[in-house]
Amino acid sequence: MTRSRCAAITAVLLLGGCRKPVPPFASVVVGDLRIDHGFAFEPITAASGAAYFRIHNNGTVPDTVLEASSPTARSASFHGSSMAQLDVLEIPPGGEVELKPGATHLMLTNFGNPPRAGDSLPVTLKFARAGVVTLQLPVRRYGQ
Amino acid sequence: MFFARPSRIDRLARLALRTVSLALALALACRPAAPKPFNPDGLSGPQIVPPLPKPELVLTSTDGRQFDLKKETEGYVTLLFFGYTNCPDVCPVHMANIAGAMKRLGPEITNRIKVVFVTVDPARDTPEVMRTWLDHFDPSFIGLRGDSASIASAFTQLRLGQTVHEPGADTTSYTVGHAAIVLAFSTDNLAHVVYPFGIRQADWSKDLTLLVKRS
Repeated sequence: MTRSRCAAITAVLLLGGCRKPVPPFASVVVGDLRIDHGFAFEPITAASGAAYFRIHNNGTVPDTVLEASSPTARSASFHGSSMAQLDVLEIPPGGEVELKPGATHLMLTNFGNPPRAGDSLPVTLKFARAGVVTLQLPVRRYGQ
Repeated sequence: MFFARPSRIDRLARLALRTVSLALALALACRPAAPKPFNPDGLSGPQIVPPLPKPELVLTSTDGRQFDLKKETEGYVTLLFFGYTNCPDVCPVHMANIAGAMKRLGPEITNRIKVVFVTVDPARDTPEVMRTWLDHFDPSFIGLRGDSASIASAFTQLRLGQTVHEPGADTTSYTVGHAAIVLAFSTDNLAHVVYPFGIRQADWSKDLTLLVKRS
């Protein structure tokens, strides 16, 4: 290996090493529910941010998200693509609800300490049947 | 001496002819070229038929200047988006994707594009708030603010649905429902295509290049 190639590889390794590794979101099971595809965007200002995930209901009865919260945000609410707040987020039996950009999302507002890309954002969901679960959502930048 | 007069007349006639030809040539050269019809084929954004004229819209830019949209963007490919900075989903995703696409393009393309963000939430989007938010994506992005009547008029001209204020948990936490499309005006001051949510950065890069090159 030439010295320059060695230097180049070392530089890449060093640069790579300096970046905080983004932990991928592993699916979480709570009761009859399985939650995957979780992530959040790094808020641009402390005023608001958004989080996304998919919930599958493997049970035979519907379940409902009663409450969402994050310790770093003052409020958390579900919104549809028209930005109207959703009072109830119901996951039908044998079905799924997917939150994704441009569609339903969890809107978080007034961050005390806004998460940065590479961080994990804790989001706690309280379900009517399945109970309480806290997700550690990997944070990434808008447009990435 | 005798031949001097016709020869002078001759010279004068030739000079007059040259002057007229030069004037004619200049007149032809200065006449605006017949506008080349913009060809929207092959663009990723869906076409609007008939194309939408750029709206009559005079607002205030983040530096406090009066900004006449038509005058200030004349000759530029212009992306127009209505949104608000408290919007956590559609607005920052669109802005980040346009900014990401612009970073991939050279100045010969980006210098001919103006990206204009008009707030639909002037109560919370002060010039400072808007500037900070836009700078996060691209400092060249233009932020405009005006009264709700001007915005409503722009929405009517563009045949977009009006904005809807959705109440939140308290009076300060409302959200604003608004059109989620980016309008792309070519230099003929017409939007032949719009960009709905979900356009990828690679498609933006390709389309911005085509919009500039075909203008």
